Amino acid sequence: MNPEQAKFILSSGRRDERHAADPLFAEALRAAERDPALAAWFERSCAHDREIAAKLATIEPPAGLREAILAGGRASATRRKTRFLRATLAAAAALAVGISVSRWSATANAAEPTDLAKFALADSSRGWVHSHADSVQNQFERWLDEGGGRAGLPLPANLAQLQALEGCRVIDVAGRDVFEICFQHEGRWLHLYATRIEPGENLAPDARVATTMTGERCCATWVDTAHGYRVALVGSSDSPVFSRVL
Amino acid sequence: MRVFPRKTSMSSEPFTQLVDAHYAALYRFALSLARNAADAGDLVQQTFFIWATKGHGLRENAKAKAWLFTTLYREFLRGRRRDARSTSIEDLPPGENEVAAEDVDRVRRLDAVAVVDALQEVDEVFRAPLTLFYLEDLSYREIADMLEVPIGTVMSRLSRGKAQLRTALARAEAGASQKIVPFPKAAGGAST
Repeated sequence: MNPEQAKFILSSGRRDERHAADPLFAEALRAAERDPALAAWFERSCAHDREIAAKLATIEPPAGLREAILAGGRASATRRKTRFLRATLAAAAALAVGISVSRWSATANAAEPTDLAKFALADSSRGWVHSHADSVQNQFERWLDEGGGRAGLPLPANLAQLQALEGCRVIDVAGRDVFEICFQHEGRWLHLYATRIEPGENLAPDARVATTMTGERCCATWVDTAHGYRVALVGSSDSPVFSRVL
Repeated sequence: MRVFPRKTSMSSEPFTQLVDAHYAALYRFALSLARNAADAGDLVQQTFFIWATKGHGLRENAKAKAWLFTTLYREFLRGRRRDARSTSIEDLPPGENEVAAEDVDRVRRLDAVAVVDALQEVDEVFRAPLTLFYLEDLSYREIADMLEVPIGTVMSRLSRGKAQLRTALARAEAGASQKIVPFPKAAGGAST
């Protein structure tokens, strides 16, 4: 092995036991032991590697990335198109960690609400809530108090207005925007998801409410006929709101 | 937006633990490949999405880590448009192996962002093994497994990638020094 060959191999490793155990690398190390110039080169190369590694290790991921991974959506209210179906991560992750979605007991009296219900249950089960201004909290609390969720009562805002609200999360689910807002009602956290019913979608608008139960969580889905949205409201199954909207 | 956990028990979930253990390293790897923070974040999210749908059967942490890095790299290759440069690796000139003491000092003087910028100037085929080498302390055999390329290819790419990185770092330092604009002296008199 000549010095150039040894340099080529030594460039691929470090001076540690793990690399020394590799027969090819060990041979290059022995060549360096016999050649002071090669040994000096290897010392400089390792020092250079250590400096680079130390610099790169200080790079921190952007704030919110961890939460976005866990929540399945971006921790930002600013919409940006992406080729990834990042929101389905939450659903898949929930499945992966053993959250059962097999115990659906949907009453199946609304037009195919199960996809949104599945997503809403899985996404909200991550345990994250998104903060917002008091005015948003008051707006949705009042809406529920006035019968929101019951047949025919539209959301208190359209999707554009929802998107502009502080704390509203926009999630790309299979290419469709799903808006989520978290708010409290009678001491319980609720997650409201809404998505636009696309033109040509084979769905007869149905204002009746369907429920899906999984464990201790309940999801009520309905169609907001005034706006043309499908809506899902998720929370603890003992939240008083669910007994009222059904 | 502030996002906060409602249930403290969430931290004990396997998925959360996996994310906490690897997302930062995956992000650094993705950043070196994708060259911008937004795409790097997307790659990391996509990788965990695929894990959640396909890879969660891997119980050993070491295997999960290797799987995540391999998957992220595959996703990067799948998503980016191949160009002529990336397919003409065999035509590249051999790397320069010399490492001067000045090269080591130069890295000490530069900040981390400048080092990342220099790494991102390195040809794409060299960046992935180089980043795994620096950030994950992996051997060339482990890198070969992760990137699914022959060992000899990894060694070649590491050697050439390091040479390119040294050149890029020298260029970065030269560029930084050129940005220092001397204060013009007043004609015929001393500046205060």
